[in-house]
Amino acid sequence: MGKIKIKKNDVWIDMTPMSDVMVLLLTFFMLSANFVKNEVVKVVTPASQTMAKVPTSATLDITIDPEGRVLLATDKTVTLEKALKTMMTERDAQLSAEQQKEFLSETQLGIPMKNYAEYLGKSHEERVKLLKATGIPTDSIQTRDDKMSEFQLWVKALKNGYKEWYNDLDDVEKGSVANKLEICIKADQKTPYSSVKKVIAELQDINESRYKLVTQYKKVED
Amino acid sequence: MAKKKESKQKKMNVRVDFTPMVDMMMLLITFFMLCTSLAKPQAMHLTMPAKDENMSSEDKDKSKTELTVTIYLAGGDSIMYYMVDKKEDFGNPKFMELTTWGKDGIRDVLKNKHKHAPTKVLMDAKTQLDNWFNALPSNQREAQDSVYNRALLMIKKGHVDIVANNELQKARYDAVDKEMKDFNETNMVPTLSVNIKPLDNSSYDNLVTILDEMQICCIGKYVIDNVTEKDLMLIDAWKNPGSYQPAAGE
Repeated sequence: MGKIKIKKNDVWIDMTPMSDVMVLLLTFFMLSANFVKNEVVKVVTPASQTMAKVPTSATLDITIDPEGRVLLATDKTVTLEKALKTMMTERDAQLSAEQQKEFLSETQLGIPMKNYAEYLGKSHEERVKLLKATGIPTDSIQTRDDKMSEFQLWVKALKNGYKEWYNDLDDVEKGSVANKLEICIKADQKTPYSSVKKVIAELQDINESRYKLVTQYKKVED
Repeated sequence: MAKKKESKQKKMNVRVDFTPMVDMMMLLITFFMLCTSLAKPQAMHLTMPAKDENMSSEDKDKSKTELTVTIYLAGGDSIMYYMVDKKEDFGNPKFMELTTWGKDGIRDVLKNKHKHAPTKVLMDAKTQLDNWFNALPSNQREAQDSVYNRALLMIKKGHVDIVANNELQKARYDAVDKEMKDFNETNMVPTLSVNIKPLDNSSYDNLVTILDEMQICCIGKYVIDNVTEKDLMLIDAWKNPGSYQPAAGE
């Protein structure tokens, strides 16, 4: 009887090279990673050939969406906490300790101060909807002597908050952080110039004249 | 016989199964790919003049010379420039010209079209400076970074003679450096100053693009200015030719 000998193949695949490649890829992604901030209102910034990078810390982002609504964000929670205290007295708005905690966990602020208590009581979905449709008021408050707008008050409060925090540091720590908040203007490509002009004019009023315009990189055509 | 059996038992399989490890890696990579962005945004510096109510309209008019180009950004991504050869022609709408974006449009205007101060000279000097800087060995580059930036500033002011043959002329550079500190700068080519006037219906993209163009064309003096009544009249007169009548005394 001719026995057909079926050769038993070894189905074991060596995964070691695969794992090597994976480790390499993973290392690459981990080293080049900068995490996407979970911003509610996102803008598409225009392109430029500038090579300078946006600073990674101590920034005050001013987002201006295509409809001209203004939102603020900062990466320093301490600063935000101090600024919130100032704003609560300035605008005479009361937030409970719990609401304040809730406030600090928000990534962007774009609601008039007097509406914040109501806003923080809403569900996440409703908040997103509100944030996309509101924005910080930029018209000057007529009842105030200095006619500052809420937006100007916020910028000032945040700047001062950072300064306070910075002054409390000891000399060794001071060397490793920026000495003031850097204003980064993040506006959408389609934002009309009139909205940008208004924001810049308001910043000039409170003696802020240096900004960074956030852009994407584009090669120069020649 | 018994001894042989014992030795057979000791032989162990040292193969480790890497499949779970690969699975985990895949998950991690997916996570990093989705949650991070590779491209870091770029920052463009912008310094606006502080608000100064004392500045009279006379001082503002001083900028109206043949070395000034006014760029108007209007709605629908349109761009106009206003350039005069003689100071006396200021206010005449026939010197307004419509152009396009990019290298054949506004960049060409700034680079070649101006009679007294085309920026081509400066751009060529910058290219030479770039060549010099890029040819440096990488360990020297960091040390020379401040020199590069200072030299670029000099070129923007019109000192184009600090570079020649793709080399930085160290002796000339030092001389200019001293001159700039003592405020007696001499021997430079005329440079252009640009007034950027974005109309309210232009977009932010237009503004950034034109600011970018200032960098590309090596223009050191530029300002973003508000559009005044006069500017609107000028644009109006340009759009409806024939309606312009030179005002008496102008």
